[in-house]
Amino acid sequence: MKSNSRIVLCAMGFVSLCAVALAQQKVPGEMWRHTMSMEASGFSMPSRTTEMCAPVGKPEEAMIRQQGPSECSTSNMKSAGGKTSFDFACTGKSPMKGHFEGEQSGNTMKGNMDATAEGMTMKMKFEATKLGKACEAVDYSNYKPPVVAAVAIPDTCQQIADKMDTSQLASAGSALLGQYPSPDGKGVTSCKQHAAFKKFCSAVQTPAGFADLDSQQWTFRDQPVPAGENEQARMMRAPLSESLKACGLGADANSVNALQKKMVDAAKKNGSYGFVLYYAAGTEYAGVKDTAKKECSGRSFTNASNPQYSRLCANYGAALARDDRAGVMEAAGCGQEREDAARGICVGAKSQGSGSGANLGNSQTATASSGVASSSGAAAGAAGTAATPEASAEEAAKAEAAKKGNSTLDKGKKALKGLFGH
Amino acid sequence: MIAVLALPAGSVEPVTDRFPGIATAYAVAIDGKLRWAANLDRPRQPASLAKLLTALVLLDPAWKPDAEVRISAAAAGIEGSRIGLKAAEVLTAADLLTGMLVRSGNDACLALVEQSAGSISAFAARMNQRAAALGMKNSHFAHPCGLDAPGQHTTARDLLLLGEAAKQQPEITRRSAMTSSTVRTQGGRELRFHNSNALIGRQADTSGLKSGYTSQAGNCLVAIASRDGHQVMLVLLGAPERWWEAAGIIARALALATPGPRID
Repeated sequence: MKSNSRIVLCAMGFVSLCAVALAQQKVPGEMWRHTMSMEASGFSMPSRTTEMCAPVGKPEEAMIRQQGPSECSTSNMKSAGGKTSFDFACTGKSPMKGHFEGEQSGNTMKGNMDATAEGMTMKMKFEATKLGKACEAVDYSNYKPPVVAAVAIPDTCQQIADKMDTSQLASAGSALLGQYPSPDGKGVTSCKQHAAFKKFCSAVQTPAGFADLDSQQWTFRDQPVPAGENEQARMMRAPLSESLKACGLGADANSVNALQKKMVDAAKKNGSYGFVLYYAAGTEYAGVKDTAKKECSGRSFTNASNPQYSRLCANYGAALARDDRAGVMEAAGCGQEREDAARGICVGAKSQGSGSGANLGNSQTATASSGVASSSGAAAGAAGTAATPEASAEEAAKAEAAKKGNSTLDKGKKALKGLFGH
Repeated sequence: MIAVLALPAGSVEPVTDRFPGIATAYAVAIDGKLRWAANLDRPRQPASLAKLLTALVLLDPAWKPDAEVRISAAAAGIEGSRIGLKAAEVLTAADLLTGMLVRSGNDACLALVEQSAGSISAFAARMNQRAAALGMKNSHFAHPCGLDAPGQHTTARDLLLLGEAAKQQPEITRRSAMTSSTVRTQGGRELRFHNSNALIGRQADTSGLKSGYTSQAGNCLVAIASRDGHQVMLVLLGAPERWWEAAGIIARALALATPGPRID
């Protein structure tokens, strides 16, 4: 919205504020009061009233030429029977293209201007009334528009792709659903057919991208669906399911689970064991523990194993060595409210069941069964694991300590003995 | 710093022993709030963690990083961890501070102490004044380099305070984050050493602060780690599996502060 506001404010000034101080001959003029209002997608700006000095008998000249900041050019100028129209294109910080139409009738003049900038369409209306007071105006009669190089319209879709970051994938996805001026100058274009969208969909199908989208969807899980929510806003609120849908990967629970399984497999290959534990502890915990035992045991911290396992050993090795499942899951990001069986989030940590599921909680595109929440999640809930993870972890630690008899240092040493080097 | 002190008594969330038996004493603060601890006030030898306080005392307003320091025979021959200084060599105070904090060099430490206060006891007196000012109520320092000494003691709680003060000092944090460093004597001899804190360069979120070991103190560590604007301060005193445990605790504490699926 901040960017849009800048565009709108500039466009508001397009007529009344951005006039160029052109070195033109001064001629007798008369004052006009000029009022402009604007509507853009989703919001409107309050009307603004200014006064301007136009050459006597030529108010349209002033209206037209006052629009002319140096980075704007006009074309297709037509003026007949009190009606004037032209196309314009501007470069600079806020490139835009548009069309102007105005008509004078006696002491009044009305006009419309349509402009498109960064995918947003703006409609401006203005009306001018002659005040009659004498003033000194600029004579535009011999004005020659400056020769302006062809307007270069940026490839916005590519710009979004270039800035794409898997830690802010939802924002990129939302932006890619917008409409932007076509780089070829022919109207507007959608990014859905652009290579940028393929890049986005590829990023969605990575553990990092999947986790980022799921995490954001979880954050907004309880946010009510706003009335009139558009595609871009929906992408921000429910980015995982919307991304899958937009990328043609399906949006039902089976599709999500299939992709999640694929991501878990990829995570195992690249050593992202936090991801593996978060999304599939139910089926993978034992295997990860065995891997840690094999790859971390007996090694010193400064002589880590294969880099593929170094993060596993550092982040989860100690807890896995103690078989502190709650601690392992907490380190994997599945602590506190994350371990929410009823919603199907990271349920594997508690359920010991057949895995977990990504958050499809409040998505419009989620199926009625809301993903795996109705399968393993419900089962975990029915099992009575309602205690908070924090409390659960505490209880686990206490139980562990009790099982060992006490929590002395000697016992701690014993728990790790043989599992690690120094 | 004040929050850490106040929280054990007034915190809404109780301080719990989440990691029973991992150390003789330990403390974990997340975003300045003490969360997990055991034997918080048990007196322990500080080992080289004392060098954090030594650095704070050295970095008082009179600190002159370019001052030339001549290495004494006592400094060159000190026991424990060293960077390999020889008697009569000359280095800048800044380079010696690097050697003291990065490699935990007792030779560099003692050289600075002698230059600054003339004797170990005189410098220790300044350390105890500074410790009192920091609110370290259950600490007494006798050796600035942390060698075991009768009557010397500190606690995990006090070391949290020391860590909080040290992290405010850029001359300390900059050095404690180095994986390795090289200094040169005035005579041109080059001394290269790695950080004695094994987490540096291996645990991505950790940027400091100091490790230590003596026979009486065992494996010790004051570590600081941060992620997405959240910070964890960890103190381990007498921890047999210091590095593995520290890395695991930091991962867990940061995940608690920034919940969500992990990629690492």
